[in-house]
Amino acid sequence: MESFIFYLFAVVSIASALLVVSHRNPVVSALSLVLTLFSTAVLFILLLAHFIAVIQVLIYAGAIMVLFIFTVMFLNLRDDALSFDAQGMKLKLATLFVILIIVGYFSHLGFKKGVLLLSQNKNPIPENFGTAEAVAEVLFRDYLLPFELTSILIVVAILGVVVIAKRRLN
Amino acid sequence: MMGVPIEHYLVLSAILFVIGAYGVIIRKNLIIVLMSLELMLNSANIAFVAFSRALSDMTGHVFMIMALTVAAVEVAVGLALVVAIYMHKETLDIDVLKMLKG
Amino acid sequence: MDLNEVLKSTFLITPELSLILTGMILMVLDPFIRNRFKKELFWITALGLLIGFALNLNRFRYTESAFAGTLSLDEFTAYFNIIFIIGALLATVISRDYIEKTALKHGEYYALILFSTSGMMLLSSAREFISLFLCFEIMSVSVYILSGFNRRSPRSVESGIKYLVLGGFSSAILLYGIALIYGASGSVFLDEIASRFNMENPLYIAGTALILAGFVFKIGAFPLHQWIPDIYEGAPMTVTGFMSVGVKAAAFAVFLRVFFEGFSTLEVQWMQILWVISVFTMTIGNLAAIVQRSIKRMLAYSSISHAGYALVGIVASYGEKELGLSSVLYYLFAYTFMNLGAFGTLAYLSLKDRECEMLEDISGLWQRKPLVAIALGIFMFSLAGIPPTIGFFAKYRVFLSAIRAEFYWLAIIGILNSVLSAYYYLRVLVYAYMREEQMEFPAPQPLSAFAIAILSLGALILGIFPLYSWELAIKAAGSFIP
Repeated sequence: MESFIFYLFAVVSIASALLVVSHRNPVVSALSLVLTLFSTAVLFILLLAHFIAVIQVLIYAGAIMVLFIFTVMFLNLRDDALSFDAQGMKLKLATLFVILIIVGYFSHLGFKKGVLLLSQNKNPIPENFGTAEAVAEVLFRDYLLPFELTSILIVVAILGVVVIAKRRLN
Repeated sequence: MMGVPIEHYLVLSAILFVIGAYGVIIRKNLIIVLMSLELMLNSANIAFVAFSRALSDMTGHVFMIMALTVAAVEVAVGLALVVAIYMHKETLDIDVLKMLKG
Repeated sequence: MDLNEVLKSTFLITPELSLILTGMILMVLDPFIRNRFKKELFWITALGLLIGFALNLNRFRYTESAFAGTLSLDEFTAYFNIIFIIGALLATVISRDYIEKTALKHGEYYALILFSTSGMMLLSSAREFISLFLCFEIMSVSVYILSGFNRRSPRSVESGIKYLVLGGFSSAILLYGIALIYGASGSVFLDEIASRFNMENPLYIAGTALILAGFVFKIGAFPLHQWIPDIYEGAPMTVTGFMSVGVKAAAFAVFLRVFFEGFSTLEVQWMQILWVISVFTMTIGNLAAIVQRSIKRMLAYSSISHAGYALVGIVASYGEKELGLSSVLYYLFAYTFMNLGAFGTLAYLSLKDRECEMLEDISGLWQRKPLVAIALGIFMFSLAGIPPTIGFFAKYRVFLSAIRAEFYWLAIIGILNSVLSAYYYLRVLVYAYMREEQMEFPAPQPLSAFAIAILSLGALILGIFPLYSWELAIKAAGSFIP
């Protein structure tokens, strides 16, 4: 059952990722991106990362995607404003497939060896692995500084967006 | 032990990473370029969480949360710049933005 | 980590906190101040930076680690922080008049400079990948915004978006590399990664390669250097000066930290790659700079070749650890003075709606503004590496360490490049001193003139009496070598 869900959502996420990079219309791309991010969230649940899966849906598939779609709507792109990007997509996709097969093959070899090497000193999975409690414990105890740094990062982003995207151009 | 070997998750993340990188390189529509960047960051997140599971270590989850924040910040600033450039040029084509030669 | 340690660590990072706090104060004050007085926010910025500078000097007395090993506050950090703060301070002094001329926003600009600088400062001390990545992003995102800061100019906004897309691409590569290293070692701390390094494991090799690619982009070295001229040309002049100095030095700091502490097992391999990278970086930067008609673009290409010279020092440290590393540190210090000075002079000469960037724009400078022409001369001599300026001493140390470490070819290629570069730097002076005036020059701006005077005197005096600052670089490199 687990492997069925994994392969189903892996295929869905790859297919929708391909749609993101190949479709002409940004709205379709944005919706396919939601699908990719959502199937990633399902994979996170399979990896016992429950809290992370929730965050993924809330922030990535929720907030970030709203930003994208809002911008697309806000700019109100007409069809002729999009046509610059459609040429030769079949050929480019074919090239991508070749690259993907090569990457898939070699990364499989590499990861298999790498994972084999690290499974030799494997700890058992703790009881509360992946819950909000476990994440909070690590986040606020061991990685307090990075957590505080994100606040500065967000302040910078707010400041930047306000400066750049103000409506009035004098 | 799990049904799906952990390296399959990692191969999936590598494939998504390459798709995202390819999108950044070939696409000319700025909004789609930003989406492809999101794909790349998201694929790194899959790798973090998968490694976290394999190592039974929570650090990867923390890193994923931070990477997600970074992704959100980059998108917010990027879209603001996209709106600003659209006000000037009425286009999102990277190639038309040729004021800078190069 | 208990509360006591958190408090103790917080006290240890007061220099960074003073910058961040000043940035916050600026953001709060800005809306309450009338437009006419907004330029006086500069004084608060300068005060914050000076406090940060003073507090940072304390760090030369101790080596501490803060936040459970996340930050390492040693002389290496203190040395780089001096570079960042000097760069930021002088850049803001020049910016004050430049912003006034171009009618940009004072408060937000200074706040972004402060946040970016605090990101650089923390970056030079980070020994753990999560903080490192976040500081990297704080620095980069602020600079993306600053590049696109002049939103009335399509060129500026365009350079901002290009920087964001390419910078985001490189940070995604960096992040994936970090993921692989984390997976292979099970830790994000550099010392633990170093102790568990295993050459058999392909994840380490791939991760190191991806992280190297991410840093090479930020340093602006071959083969990921093409973004530099476009973005440097489009950004507002003072921002270009600030980022060509600060971001580059910060990228070198984090590069040294990560590769010498974390990946020293693979030293032989990445040193060989760096050898090739540094040769191509120097040469390509120089060859492209020769054909430029725009001084701004020429300086952008020349900053690529300067990154190449600094990389020579890193390669030399393979044989001569202490000499090589201290020569890199010293080079970055010297580069701050000369490059910021060059961009600062151009910012000084810019008019409201026209940046001073083409060669023709400065012709006749000697007749109209002899003092500025002398300062420009010092900066160009220094960039070209002509004695008795600071640039000469820095280049001399870099190439000397390469020769001591028996990288003869590298030193020869570097010296040849340096001779070649004299051509395009001196061409600027030919226009400034020997041509007739074609364009008008702006009215004098006392504060900027003061900053440019400090930079040019620094470039000259530190070149004649280099020993004190050189000792500082040796001390910083010594604290860093394990």
